[in-house]
Amino acid sequence: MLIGIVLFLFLAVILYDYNVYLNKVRVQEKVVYYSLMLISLCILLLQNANVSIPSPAEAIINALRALPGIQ
Amino acid sequence: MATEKITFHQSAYSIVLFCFGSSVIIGISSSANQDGWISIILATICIIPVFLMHARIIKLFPEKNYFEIIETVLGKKIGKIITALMLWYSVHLAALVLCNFGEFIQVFDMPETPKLSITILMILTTVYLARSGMRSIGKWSVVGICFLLFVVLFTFATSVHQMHFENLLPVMEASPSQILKSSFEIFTFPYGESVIFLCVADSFHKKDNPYRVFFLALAIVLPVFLTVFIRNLALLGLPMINASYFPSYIAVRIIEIGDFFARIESSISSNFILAGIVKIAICLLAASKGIVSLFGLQNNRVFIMPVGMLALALSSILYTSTMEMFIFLDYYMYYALPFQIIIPLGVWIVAEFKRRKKGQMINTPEDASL
Amino acid sequence: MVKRFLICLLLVAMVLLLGGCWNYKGLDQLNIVLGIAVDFDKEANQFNITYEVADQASAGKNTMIKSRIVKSQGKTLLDAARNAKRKEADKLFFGSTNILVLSRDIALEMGIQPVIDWFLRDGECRETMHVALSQEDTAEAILQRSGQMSGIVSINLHDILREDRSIVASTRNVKLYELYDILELRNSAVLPAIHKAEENADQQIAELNGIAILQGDRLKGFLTPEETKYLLFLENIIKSGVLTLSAKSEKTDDISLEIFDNKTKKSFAYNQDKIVVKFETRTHVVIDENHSKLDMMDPEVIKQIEKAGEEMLEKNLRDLISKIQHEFQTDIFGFGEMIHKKDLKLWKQLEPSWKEIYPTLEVDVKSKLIIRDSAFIK
Repeated sequence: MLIGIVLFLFLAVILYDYNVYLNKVRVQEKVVYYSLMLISLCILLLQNANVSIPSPAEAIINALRALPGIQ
Repeated sequence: MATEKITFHQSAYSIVLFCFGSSVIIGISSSANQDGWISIILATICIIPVFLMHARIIKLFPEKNYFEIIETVLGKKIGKIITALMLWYSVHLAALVLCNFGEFIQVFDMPETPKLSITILMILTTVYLARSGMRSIGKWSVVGICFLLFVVLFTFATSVHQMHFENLLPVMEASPSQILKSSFEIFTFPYGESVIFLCVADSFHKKDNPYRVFFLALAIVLPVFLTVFIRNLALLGLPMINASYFPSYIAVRIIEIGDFFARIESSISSNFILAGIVKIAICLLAASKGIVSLFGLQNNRVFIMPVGMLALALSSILYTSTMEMFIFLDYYMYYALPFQIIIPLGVWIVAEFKRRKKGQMINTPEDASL
Repeated sequence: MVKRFLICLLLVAMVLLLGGCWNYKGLDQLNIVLGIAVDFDKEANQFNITYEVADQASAGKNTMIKSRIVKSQGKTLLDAARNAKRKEADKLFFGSTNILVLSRDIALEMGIQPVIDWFLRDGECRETMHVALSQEDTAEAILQRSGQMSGIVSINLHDILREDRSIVASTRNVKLYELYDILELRNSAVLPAIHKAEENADQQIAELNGIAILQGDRLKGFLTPEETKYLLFLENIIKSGVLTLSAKSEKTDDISLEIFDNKTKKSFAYNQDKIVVKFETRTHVVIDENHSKLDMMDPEVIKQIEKAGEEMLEKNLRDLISKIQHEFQTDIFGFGEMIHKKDLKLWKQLEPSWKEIYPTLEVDVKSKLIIRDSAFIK
């Protein structure tokens, strides 16, 4: 169900943005826009499909623990 | 595209709401137990030089945002790396506030609602606010701050008869190292996060003195934090505060006058929303400006939505439980240090150095390379 | 045009996600719990919980809401709360729970801390719930109504407890969050005690009967309502009540003093390795009943009554403190907490051996009684 909501959200957002912004900007901006949307769509879909994605918070905590003086 | 300008008071109030963003609900650090008020005052004193530094950077480069300043001062290559770092920090911060909000609503209001649907609504609202520009955020801050101050004062006034001020005793029971650690926590969260304001500093008028903007904000934030801390401690007592995830909410839950006046805790949730959306909107604006600067593009408004979606995706993978979110807060102060202090310090020192060398204000990359 | 359509689409999507529709609960789907009584069955090793629930079926426009009893069992409190759904059409809703009654056995054996943990942790129960202890065999007996008695027991008890210190001063009411704080800070607690009293020939009614003293979270003993009145004096929370005394030191009390105001100052002094705790009470009273033939207009008589009242008050306060110190040996007044708050260095010295030091503390009580007037007649 959440996957449906996520897909619907992205569809609605891109449709809305298409009219308002995307046909008025340059190609590079479109590329950046779509790639960012793609990354977030993938993360959200994978997360809701119960695929475990490594969390940056864990990575940060492990990196900090490796430094001296922080436990 | 021309950036919108906000007035002196609007900029100060948006900084205030930014600082309140998550703190008014999470409560202000309690590893110093009842001496937390000393930590708050200490953290406020420590942030003054940092604010001076921020204001000086703004003064040196009037009506420029942080990413332009970084490129001007540090050159293109290092500038791009630092821009990418600050971009990551803005998105991460937006995701953190979204997480706070989602956890809060899920734990306290709607346990069965999936966090995603709550955070989707939150991010859509803030994207709309951010897209409406800095001017809308400024106007919203003026309204929001009135409501926020009213709620804090109102909850304080209606609970005075239930307060036990001796909960604040004994003074200085925590060791100096505990108080220092606690003030360092408050220093990074929420004061230090105002470095994001440098990213949107091109909305400040040239004629507005940035020093006065920051200090007006500080003058409002400090008494409110102290009021919130004292209210929570005097109402709940130390054991309940240490046991609660969100002390402000629990404290306001117990306010009762006579038979008819109770259950006003939804005012605290609305406080959180009002301040939270400002914090997320400014982070999104900052991140979109970062993208424009990083890729050499022009229209920053179009990137607010993808950055918002990125923050949404990040918030859904950051933590699997509320406990993890609070454990991360213990490490946040070390993680945020480079972004909040080291990078602005570097930028400021190099900017001053170049200015001395040149003897005048630097306005363009060409000036800097001479 | 397309833009408007897309905006409408987005709005519809937001409305679908809005309103907490995952969490929507209509009022007719809730079983509103007004009071809870917790018992623990040792043989079956499970909790027997009694919920007094608002009876929505019998509620009409002109009839008062009645209540009914729902009983449930479970290995833990949450288990029992959910198990009730096996026979109830609606899920139990704890947002309006007024009172929690614990059984004596729980307080004696497992301690009240595990039970309180769930009520604080669960999101629905409010922290302002009153907590009480049952002096009957089970806590369930308190919530049971007998015979034709009408009215909702939980709400009655809640009102009685809340107004007690302003009317009769016979018990110390405690809210859930206060209980948690006191247990953590003083390692002792005080709970109002409720028993069943005979009302008519065949009817029994729940009645406040003093307080229960807990050491740690285990039951130690009880105090009578009379003794609890003096406890309220010492904690500076008494708002009204009655002091009865005999003006001429006779056996039967013949004067009633109605308490209108009281201020108690608590302090301590530390000289030469001895700690003396001082209480000073200042009470404004009104002579509300006079069986003796004394003349109330005579200032000497007033002084005599004041003096007799002060002596009686001081004696009773001292007796109570002595009983708590020596018989119960629990620091329910928070002497340790007071020293901790006022003199940190001293407390750090005393804390390791506080259990042994506490019964040896000297306590000094001074009372001042001021007779304001003698009500309507001389």
